Amino acid sequence: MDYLKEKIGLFGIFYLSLLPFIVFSGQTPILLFFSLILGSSLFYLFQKPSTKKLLFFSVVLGIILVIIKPRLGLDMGQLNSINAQRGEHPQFQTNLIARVIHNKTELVHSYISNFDYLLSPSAIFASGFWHKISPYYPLGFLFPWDLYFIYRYFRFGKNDFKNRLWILFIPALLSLFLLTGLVYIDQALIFSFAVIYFLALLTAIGYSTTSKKTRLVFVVLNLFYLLYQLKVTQYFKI
Amino acid sequence: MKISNILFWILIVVIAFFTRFYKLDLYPPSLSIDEVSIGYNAFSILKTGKDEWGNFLPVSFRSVGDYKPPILIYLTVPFIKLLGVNETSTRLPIAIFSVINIYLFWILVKRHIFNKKYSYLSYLSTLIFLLSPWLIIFSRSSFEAVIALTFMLANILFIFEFRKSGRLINFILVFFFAFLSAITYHSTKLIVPLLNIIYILTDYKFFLNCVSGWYSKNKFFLLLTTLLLIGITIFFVDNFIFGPGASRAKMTFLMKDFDYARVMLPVFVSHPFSGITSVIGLISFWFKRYLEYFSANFYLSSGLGLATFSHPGQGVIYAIEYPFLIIGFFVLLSCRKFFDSSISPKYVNKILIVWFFLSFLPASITNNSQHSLRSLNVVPVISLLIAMGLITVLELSKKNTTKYLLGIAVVIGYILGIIRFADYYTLHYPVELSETRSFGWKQMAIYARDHHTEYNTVYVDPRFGTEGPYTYGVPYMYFLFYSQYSPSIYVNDPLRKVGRTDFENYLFTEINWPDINHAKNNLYIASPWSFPKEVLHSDKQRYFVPFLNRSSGLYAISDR
Repeated sequence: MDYLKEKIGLFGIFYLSLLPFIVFSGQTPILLFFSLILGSSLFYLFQKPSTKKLLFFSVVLGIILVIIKPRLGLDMGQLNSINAQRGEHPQFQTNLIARVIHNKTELVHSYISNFDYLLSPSAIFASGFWHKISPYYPLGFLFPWDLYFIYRYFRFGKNDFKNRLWILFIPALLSLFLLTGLVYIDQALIFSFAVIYFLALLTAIGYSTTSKKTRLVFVVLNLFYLLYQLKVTQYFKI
Repeated sequence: MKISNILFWILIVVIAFFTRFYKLDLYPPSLSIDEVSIGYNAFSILKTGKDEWGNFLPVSFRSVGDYKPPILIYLTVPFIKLLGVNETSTRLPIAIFSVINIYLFWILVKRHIFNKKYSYLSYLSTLIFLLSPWLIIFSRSSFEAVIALTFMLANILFIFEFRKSGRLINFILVFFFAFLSAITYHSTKLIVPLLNIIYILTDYKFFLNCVSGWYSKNKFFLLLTTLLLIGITIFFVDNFIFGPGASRAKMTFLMKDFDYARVMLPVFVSHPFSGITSVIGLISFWFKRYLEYFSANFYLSSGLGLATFSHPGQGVIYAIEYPFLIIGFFVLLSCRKFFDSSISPKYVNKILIVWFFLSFLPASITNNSQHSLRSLNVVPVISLLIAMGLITVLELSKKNTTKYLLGIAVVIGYILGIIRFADYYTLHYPVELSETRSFGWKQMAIYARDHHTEYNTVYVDPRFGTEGPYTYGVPYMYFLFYSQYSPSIYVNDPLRKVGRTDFENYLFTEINWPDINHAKNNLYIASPWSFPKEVLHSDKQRYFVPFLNRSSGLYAISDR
């Protein structure tokens, strides 16, 4: 907490407690807690990578996997589509190209689709609550302008990316990416929310690179935006 | 010229021939509605100087009500004259311009983007640009966007030339190609003026210095040029921004999008503060649509839409390119070491960033999500990013063995990607989407051309499709195109004045079987659901063209 206070200030803490994905998530508190812990450990691993932190991240991830017992979320119905496409080839039983192209590796398209539902830029910043609110309603997991503050984090934050031990951070991030697309979508939310919380922490530092006046404006803006979305989504029962 | 250079250009020519010209009339298998419309209007201009509606040398072609931009149609005229009215003559101008694009891209990157240390990136990025599936599929059909891209590349090339030399002639050429690009396709109407304004504003001191220099050198010439540019701008705005040329933009604006207009808007307008909710809703909806161009599925799964909705499809790039694209994107935002310093690496960097982010803007403010044609202008930047990403990864690998292994993996990835793309483009796309490409109308038009005199009236139902009467086509255009019906007779037909499309004994109307007098000997061309079941496959059936996926097709049924 002290670390957060020092790095991101009070505004950051206020910002982190009122994120759209927390307010609208519909997740049970325990699952949400898991996401926040996982996201925080990813963030600390990113800030100062070390084997200890990677181990901590792995232990948290392991506990979550044991508790939720993940089920495969790939759309197995796609196998019919893949077979249908193989069947479009003349002499499809023996055709080498048909065998090389149309096989189970094509299930990667189902993975991509699952991943995009939860972790595409569009889902994160513009329209993520397809499962809880509406597939069309434009409300992201984070505030739309957070994109700019993530950019500010990388542009103006006091970072030394060259000396980072990427070899420790990248596998951790990739494991969350992999689980997001691979696991049944209701369970995958835990992992996607962890990545989103990691982004929110970067955003909070990005905010801290601006002036106090700007931060105050965004406190008010974020609050109004949330109240507006609460009002609109409740009123319509979308 | 070095031998390596000669070999490189031989490779370019061979690949360009196979990807752009080989079996151009067969792949894709049928002309789209836009293509037949462009072909017949070019034929009409050739024969009469008028379009299909009788307008003399129009600046916007009314066509099927979408007011097509004029450049492609006029460019098609000489090909129709030389090769006749057919698939090749209609598609050839685009294939040729696609090759010009490759050359312009090469000049641009070689002269202005990469510095001497990284000059090999020019070869690599040109090869990636040439092989881009995004560009290949649109280069084999009549899409104005390809020509607009040519003029846009020329425009950007002269922006750099102008920035280097400060010469007035280069500035005039910047303006000239900007206008040509903007009047060639709807997307570039937005992106090209914006790009040019931003480029001038970011370096306005240089521009003002140039203007004062031109003024002191030759006041009269500068005045004349300014008046000319103002005149062209007024003409452009009058005809293409507010005039009939704007009708297509109105038809496709974001507010007409199905998700917004049919699903979200009714909800927003029923709110007590409907004005605010509608405006915030529309802006948020645009933001969503814009960000969808950064989703993985656009690049890897469905960007080109070469398969039916539920099937695995083809993205706008090859799968092997995706990681390098992401790395290249971050390299573009954070590093300038690749860029040419004759102006400044910062200037090159700025141009590429603005070009990249603006390219998705026209597509995002129109209906339909992830529209690869409307965002075609970004392909050159995407090719550069992939090349930069690939070289960055190679530079990071310290051992030569790692570099070789990576290189081999990339080559294998490309080979598999090209095989997969070729398979989807030549096999699955024609089969799965023949219906949406209006397959069948050509065969029916040719059959009717040879037999229509045997019947009193030939009824043609413009509705078609497997599911039911939900899709409306413009079959009259196919019948005109494949019968090469005389434009001078067609445009002077009094029926055209009242908006009818019928000619000779053809009647293009919805067929309601019980309401028609079957005492006469008529021919009916329509989908199966327009006919009673008992006449299908009976002795009254004269012809049948199945869709390539065999789901349904078009029937020709006679009364006797």
